[in-house]
Order: sequence, then C-alpha cells, then structure tokens
Amino acid sequence: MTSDAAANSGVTVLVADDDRDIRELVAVKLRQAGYHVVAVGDGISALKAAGEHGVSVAVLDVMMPGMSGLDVVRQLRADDRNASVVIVLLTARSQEFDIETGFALGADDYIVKPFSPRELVHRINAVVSRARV
Amino acid sequence: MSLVAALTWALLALSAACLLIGVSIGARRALRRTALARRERLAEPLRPTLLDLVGGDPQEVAAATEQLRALGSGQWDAVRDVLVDFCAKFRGESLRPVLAVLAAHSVVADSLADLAARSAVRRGRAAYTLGLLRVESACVGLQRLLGDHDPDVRIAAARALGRIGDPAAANALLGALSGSRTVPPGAVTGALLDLGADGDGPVREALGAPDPVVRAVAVEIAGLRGALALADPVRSVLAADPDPQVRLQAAASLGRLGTSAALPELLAATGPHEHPAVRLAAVAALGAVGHPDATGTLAALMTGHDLLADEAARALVRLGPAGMTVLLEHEVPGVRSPAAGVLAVARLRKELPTADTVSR
Repeated sequence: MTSDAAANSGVTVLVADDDRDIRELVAVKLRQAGYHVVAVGDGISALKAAGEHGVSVAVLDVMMPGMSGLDVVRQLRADDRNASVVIVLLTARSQEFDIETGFALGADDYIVKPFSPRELVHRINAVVSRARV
Repeated sequence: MSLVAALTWALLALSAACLLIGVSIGARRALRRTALARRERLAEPLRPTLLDLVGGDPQEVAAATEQLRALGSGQWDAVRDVLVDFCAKFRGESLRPVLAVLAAHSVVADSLADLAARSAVRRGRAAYTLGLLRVESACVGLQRLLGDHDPDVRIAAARALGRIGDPAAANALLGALSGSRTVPPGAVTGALLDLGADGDGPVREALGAPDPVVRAVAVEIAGLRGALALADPVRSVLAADPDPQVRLQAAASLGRLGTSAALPELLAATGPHEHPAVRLAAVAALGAVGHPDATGTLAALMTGHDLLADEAARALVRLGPAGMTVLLEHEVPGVRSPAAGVLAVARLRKELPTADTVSR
C-alpha cells in the first residue's frame, strides 16, 4: 500500500449515484486509493448510510430518483454533526443552476460528467488533505 | 346479407384485428424483455472486466483488454453498448483502452455503415455511437441524417454533430430548423453550443435568417455562449425584429451577456408599445445587467400589481444599493405591493443593506 493509500485508510467516502457503472467505477478507484467506500444508488439510502457510517466525504450525483443529490446536501447540512463532511457533487455537463444551488446549500466542490475517474480521485485526495491541515 | 349481419361481421373482424395487434405487441415486448435479460445474463460475469478496463492498474487494464478483444459475438453483443455508454459517462486517459477494444471489434466501421441501415433504431444508435466516439469522418453522413424521416434519428444526428465538434456542421444544424423534417430547436441549440466559438460565424449570419425560429435560436446561442462579439447584432434584433419571440430571446440574451451598452434597447423594450412577454424579458434583463441607470424605468413599472411590476421589483433588488433605495422609498408599511414583497424576502435572507449604505 502506498503512503497515500495508508493515510486514506481511515477515511470513509460515501458514493451515491443511481448509475451502476459510475457508482461501481468510482468505488473501485477510491478503494484503490485506500479509502473505505460505501456505495448506494439513491438519495434516501445516501442519508441512511451517512448516518450509519460516519462518512468524511460524500460524492453525490445530483439527478437521482426520489431524493436528489441537492436534497441530500440540504439534509446533511441541516444536521450540525455533518458540518465537517466534505460534499462533492456530480452534475451533468455544466448546469449552472445545479452548481449554484449546490454551493448555496453547502456543497464543497463539483465535478461535471463526463468525468475522468483519475481526476475525481485527485480531487478527493486534495479535499481530504485540506481537511486534515 | 342484412345490415345487422354485415355490422356484426364488421365488428367481429375489427375485434379480431385488435386482438391480433394486441397479441403481436405483447409478443414483441416479451421477446425484447427476453433478449434484454439474456444480454444482462451474458454481461454480468464480465462486469469486473469492464470495470478493470476503465479503472484497473496497468496489468488489469492489459488483461481486460485482451479478454474483451477476444470475445465472441454473443458476449460481445452483450457488452458492446455498455462500453459505448462508458464514453458518455467518463473521459480522459481511462477511455483509451475502451476505444481500443471498440476499434478491435470494428464498432466505428459498423456504425458508419449503419448510418444507411433500413432500421431507424440502428441509424439512431449509429449516430449516437459515432458522436460519442467523436468520429470526424462521420460528419457528412450525420449531416445527411439531419433530414432523416425519423425524428429521433434527426435528433441523434444533431447531438452527434455537436459532440464531434466540426464547425462545418453549424450551417447544416441551423438549416435543420426549417423545412418539412426539422430538428427541435433545443437539440440544435445544444449541438451549436458544443461547437463553441467556431460556430459563431454561421450564428451571426443566422441572426438575419428569414425563418424566425432560426433567428430565435441564433440569438439564444449568443446569450448562452456569452458571445460578447455578437452583442451589437443582438441589440439590433431586439430593436427591430418583427417577431416577438425573437425579440424576447434577444432581451434574455442581452441579460445573459450583461453588457450595459444594451441599456437603450432594453429600456425601450419595456415600453407599453411592446409585446407583454418581451417587456417582461427586458425588465428581467435590466436586473441581470445591473446598471443603476435603469432604476427610474423600473421604479415607474412598479406602480401596477401585475407580473411586470413584480419583475421590476425583483430587478431592482439586483441593482444593488441604488435599487434597494428605490424599493424602500416605495414601501408603505402594512400595504401589500411588489416592493414590499421583495423587501420581505430580502429581510429574510438578511440581504437588506445597513443604514449607512442606503440613504432613505
């Protein structure tokens, strides 16, 4: 295990996307980077998982059935216990409204689809490093 | 045969035909479901390999590439579309092995051939695939499909041309807005936006097209792309275009462009002579531009109790301290008004400036 992966081993990342390909690939890449990953397919499961697993980072798709990623952000930030959770949104193309709303609700970063899996991992590494400092 | 007997036979024949059609539809759906389930069953064991191809370490990628290249037609048919869809979901170096596997199975060549397939589904799927793979040699064939008799194929072709990004397609895309077989304006707008600044030349020319739908799309593109170089022609469109939908789009685009040089045209477009929808768009655009010279006009529009007055109040909020001053002057305690409405929201959001920044 590399030193980065060792440093990441105590960090739990929640991945929520109703697209199975995206969800599974992101989980694979993050596990390779040493993270403990919880992957779910909808917003309600995301909230449940965030409560059960003590996540440090949440990677949320915006467009999900039932509860959207933006609703999940709103609910997470409504609970003070989640104040330190880093939230990264996955949004289709550059939908201005989603990005602005996401930041207004408390998201920390966003990635536009289609995205580079490698870049996603680098961005997660960067936000986790900043949170450690 | 009596009339009653004839009617009875006709009804029976009609019922039989309906039953036949219903059975046929049901059978086709069942067959499709079975085929889909079979493909999913064949693809499922290969999922780890597919994920390795895009996300594995170099050895895993090499092993996955070799395995997928060697697939027989049954298993390949099951995973082909998954790999093509990967190109819509991911980008960057991760896609290199995907493209290599697709090339090994002649996906590009087959898709180019399928542009002329009898089946509209195959033509549409081919257009989708070639767009995702950004195959420039497909542009000519895709431009032909902009006139396809199937509307879904026309849309797929437009989107593919946008993805490929050849600026030479701009004129064909704009041309697809007119005629007997058109592409919906939304699809053309999306494709032209994908072309970026390279499409600005044809977009500028389209501002003077005879078809108002084409002019409206061209004006919308100018605003969505933030093409400041097109601000002056768009101003002229707002001032002089005969079609209110085009003028509305021009006002909205000038708001997006945010150029205060457009103030005279926007202020004029709020006048009572103008179409109500254009007035609304012009008022919203004045708020987006945010120039304090608009406060007088917006204040005068707030006197009514209609959509225009509400929009004028919202626009004044966006003008900052100058607009807030006007709103506070128009607020009468206890009296419902457009000014009172937006000020109540501003207070809830704690956006009201303090006393030393606003003079009452």
